[in-house]
Amino acid sequence: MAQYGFYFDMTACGGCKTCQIACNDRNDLKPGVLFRKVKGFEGGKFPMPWIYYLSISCNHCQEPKCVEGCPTQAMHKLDNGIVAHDKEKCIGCRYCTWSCPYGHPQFIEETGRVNKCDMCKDLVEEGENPACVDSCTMRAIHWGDLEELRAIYGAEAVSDLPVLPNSSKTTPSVLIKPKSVALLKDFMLKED
Amino acid sequence: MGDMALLVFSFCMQAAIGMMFFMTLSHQLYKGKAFKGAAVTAAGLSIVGVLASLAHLGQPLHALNSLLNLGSSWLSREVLFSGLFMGVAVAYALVQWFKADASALSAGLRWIGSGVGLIAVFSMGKLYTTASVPVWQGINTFVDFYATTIAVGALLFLVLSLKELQDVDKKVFGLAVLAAVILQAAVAIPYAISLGLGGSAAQASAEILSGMSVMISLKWILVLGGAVVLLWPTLQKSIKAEGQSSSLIYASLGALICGQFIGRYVFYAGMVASTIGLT
Repeated sequence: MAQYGFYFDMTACGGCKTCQIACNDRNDLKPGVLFRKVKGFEGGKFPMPWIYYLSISCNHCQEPKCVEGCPTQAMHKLDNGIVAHDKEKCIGCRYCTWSCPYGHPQFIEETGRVNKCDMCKDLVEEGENPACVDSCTMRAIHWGDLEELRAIYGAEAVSDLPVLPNSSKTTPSVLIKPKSVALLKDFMLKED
Repeated sequence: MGDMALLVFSFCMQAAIGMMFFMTLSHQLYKGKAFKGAAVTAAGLSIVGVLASLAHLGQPLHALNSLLNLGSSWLSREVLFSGLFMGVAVAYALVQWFKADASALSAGLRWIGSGVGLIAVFSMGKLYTTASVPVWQGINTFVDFYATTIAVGALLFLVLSLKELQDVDKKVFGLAVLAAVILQAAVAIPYAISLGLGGSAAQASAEILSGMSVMISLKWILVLGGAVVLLWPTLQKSIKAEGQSSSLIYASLGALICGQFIGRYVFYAGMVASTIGLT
């Protein structure tokens, strides 16, 4: 089975959040709901303060806890590895919001259901890129078959960072080229 | 609090399951007695529990979809066993009132209800301990759920069956409740200490819980105090409905219900799920 995934080049990202906005626009998300989030982390002291940005969405894990725990099978894996959500089956129990160690699925009060990133599967099926990938002005986000991404970027990419849950929990389909400061354990979440 | 529906569901369902368990035990210990009031209360509590669980859903009319993933979802299994328990508890109450002479049917329903109920409690424990919420992970959640089942179930059953049980040896109830809450405290204390040594999500939960220390202290005073108070009347040979011993049992019930309910409130209030930057 194929497994699509994301590659994120943190060293190229300046935290402009264009990917986040493009994702919101593509999915017609209301304020407060984000499928792709850009989070800033900071640390250090003068004269050596540091900051980095992490753009992250659903990691379309190979062993997704949301799929395992969903009582309705609304959360399911497609043949291409995308973790998709069937809103017709969803009953809004919110268990996936507790299951996902990345806190990705979000309960939408207006619909009484959960929703999440589907890697823009409609675009992908037409041979196009997900909205976040095409919108990134720094070309920091890439998308494709995980093994191909690993072959291209694997030497300097990781799936584990101190700000992320251990990848052994769900085997996320994400590769990140980190800034060196992103490997430091003493970080603070930057206020938006 | 958004999780109030889940609080009511888990508390009522565990109380009902505990009542069914002690009803089964009492029929083995004391032959020829009927516990109609307890049977109806257990059925009523299970119905209230299931209705409360529906109130938690964003799409309650599609609740049956929750049975579609029994192969891997503990939530699916919890829904199945809780629903089955409610069905058995209601059937048992109806049999007690309308077909009291069907003793084989009654016994079968009691045993099935107890077994299914205890599996439902296990499923509840599994679904919370497997979530990405560090404060819920570990043996503490199972012990807490089973202690509530035993303590509240035993006391509710005892109070509703005082008339039937007034001249029999009742120390099994006092000892079971005391053992349950002592085990609950023995597991909770080292668990609370270890929470602060965990990851950042666990530490965030520990911080919330330390802000609720008055409430948590009150819980343990009520729970342990209620269990100790229960011991004396259950060691008496006979209890009169209006006597001092029965007053102590009522006081114990009030203390245990309040204490365990506060504990369940704290269980949900301390919830911090793992996420990016909070692992």
